[in-house]
Amino acid sequence: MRALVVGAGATGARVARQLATIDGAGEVRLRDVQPDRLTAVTRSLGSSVVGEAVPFSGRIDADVVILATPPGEGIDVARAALAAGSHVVSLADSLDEVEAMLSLDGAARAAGVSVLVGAGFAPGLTCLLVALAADQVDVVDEIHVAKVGTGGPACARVHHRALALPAIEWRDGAWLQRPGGSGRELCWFPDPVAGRDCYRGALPDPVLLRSAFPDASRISARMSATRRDRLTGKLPMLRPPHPEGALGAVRVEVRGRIGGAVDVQVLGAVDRPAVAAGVMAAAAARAAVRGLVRSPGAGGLASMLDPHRTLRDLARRGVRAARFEGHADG
Amino acid sequence: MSTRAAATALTMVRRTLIAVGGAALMAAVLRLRGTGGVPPRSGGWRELRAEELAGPDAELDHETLDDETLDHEPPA
Repeated sequence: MRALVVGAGATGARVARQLATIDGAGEVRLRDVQPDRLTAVTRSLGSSVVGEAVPFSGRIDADVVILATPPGEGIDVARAALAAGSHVVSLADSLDEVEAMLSLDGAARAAGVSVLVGAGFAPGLTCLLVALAADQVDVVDEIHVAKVGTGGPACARVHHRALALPAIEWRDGAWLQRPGGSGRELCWFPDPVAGRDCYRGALPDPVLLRSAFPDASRISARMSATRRDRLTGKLPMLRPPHPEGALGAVRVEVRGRIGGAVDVQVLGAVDRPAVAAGVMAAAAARAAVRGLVRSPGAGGLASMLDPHRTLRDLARRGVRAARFEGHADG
Repeated sequence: MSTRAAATALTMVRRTLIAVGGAALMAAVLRLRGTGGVPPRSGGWRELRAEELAGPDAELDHETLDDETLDHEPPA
């Protein structure tokens, strides 16, 4: 497998590491606009990864291109990758970037390749957990996703902005816009994260899940936030984000029916977001190259990948999902 | 405008400002505090079992959770 990873930040470095040192991919190239960071990452990964500093070659020669770039910087590379006949795995986590990636559906179908959109921790792992939970019920009525934590600085900036921008929710056949930072809900995540107050935000999960579950009447996403996050959400970040966020978690709740009875499936996972996103993106890239994507085109992981197989793959790599058993209101 | 009328107008303005300021302060407190208490919870989380991840392709895939877990960075 020839892989090109674009972005050597907290998540991109993990993707390259997964592909090069664990999967033993034939050729892994890593691009970054910061020469110092690129040198540090490639040096830590040994000879298994080849760094590409600016100016980048205009030609893309890879089976799969993994985009771990800040919002807005990946779409042109994705177009170039499709023109070269490469699969694309995007770790986009901002609503605008995800919608832009999904708009490449026609080009991807024409090229006979796939664009796996939102292949990180959230969205990404969340979409697979929803697909797995949905498999347990006959009819999916509602899907609710929540997340805690951020990966690298770019992810933290997206998280910060998401609280200030309008959130979108799918409700009864229409998209609703709700204020970011509203809709407080106490969500229970796997230990040790446990209960966190979560709020609406400009999160892309509903967009990615809507196409996979067209019959669901409600699809929403929330993110954990503190009072300071909400108070300062509309301001620029008051201090630079951490190089990497702490322990994070995701939680999905699928409400449906089995026979005539109402059933609620709650699944989750806990990990460092950048690490789990790296594992997730590497698994998605591997699936794309091995021809395990359901059909050419652009879409989220719930509609493009088999959740059972992919979650088994993730579990073998240490990203393990959990099920909540019991009763949790919130 | 007479002195009396001006004083009355100023009083109105002052009272209006105090009312608006008080309402804004109250709204800010409510927004930051949120509402509601801690909902009840009984039960807990458990790791998914291998059979829960066994899909239609399980026999073909030859991969199980019992395989040695590959290298992974530990949670912080």
